[in-house]
Amino acid sequence: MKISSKKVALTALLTATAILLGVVESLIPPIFPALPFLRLGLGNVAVGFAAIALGCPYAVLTALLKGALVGLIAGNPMMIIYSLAGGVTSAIVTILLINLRKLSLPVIGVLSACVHNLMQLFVAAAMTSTAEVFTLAPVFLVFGAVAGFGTGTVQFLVIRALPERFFSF
Amino acid sequence: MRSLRSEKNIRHYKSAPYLGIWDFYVLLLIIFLSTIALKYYLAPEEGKFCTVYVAGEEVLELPLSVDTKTEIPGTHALLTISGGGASITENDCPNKICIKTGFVSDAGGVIVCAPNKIVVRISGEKSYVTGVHG
Repeated sequence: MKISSKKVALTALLTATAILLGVVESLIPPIFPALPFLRLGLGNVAVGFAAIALGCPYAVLTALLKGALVGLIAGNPMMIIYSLAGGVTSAIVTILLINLRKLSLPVIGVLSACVHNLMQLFVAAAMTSTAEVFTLAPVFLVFGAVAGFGTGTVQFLVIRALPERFFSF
Repeated sequence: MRSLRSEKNIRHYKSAPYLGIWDFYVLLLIIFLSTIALKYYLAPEEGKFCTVYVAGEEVLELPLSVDTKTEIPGTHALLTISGGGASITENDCPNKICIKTGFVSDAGGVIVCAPNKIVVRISGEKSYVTGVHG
């Protein structure tokens, strides 16, 4: 695989956007005060965009850097494990579905957000070795579906609105 | 240096509709699966206690494990507890809605007799309706 400098630059730009969105997201007050770790996941717009315009390795890289750096900047080191586990699995699902080219972006967002949240629940269950965390699963899945639909819609609009010369080479 | 796959992706998602036929199928599948999951998640909890209120005051609390027939104090209603559930079997109200409500056994279930201001509530172990039972 030939690595072009344009692609590297765009990956860096998208990673920066994803981190910025993640940090801003952690500054706004939580939507449900009881569950402060439920967040919108706007950074996944950048990951999905990388998956469309750049391809698999760049999107995975974006997701990895986003998970590690947002955790370092905005959260505690424990958060990194959760966001990496969720972020990378959901990025892989996003990449597979995007390359399938059958579903549209909002639905891809819903599916990948659900995978993201389920993976985080699995990690939480493994780390605390309690199965009780799965009683939260319905809240996580419903919220994830709504948030995923939202981020997918943003992706859809970004792809539509952005002139192709900015990301096609 | 054009990567064929991302070029195809860009072209496809540039012109793709907001929701297509496959999305419709997937959303249908999601709704179907979540309905099934919700049915298990919201499976009614078995009632453990029944609490009787008359005019808003708690007058009686009985475990559902013991079969009894009790007259609700201050009224002419007969509360029957049998087989883990409760029902009002006799009353002097005009419409007999409380009797027609029949047998209630799930936690959160209610029997109401409006004319006599009777409310019978079934609560489970973890009831948030009547608080904590000993």
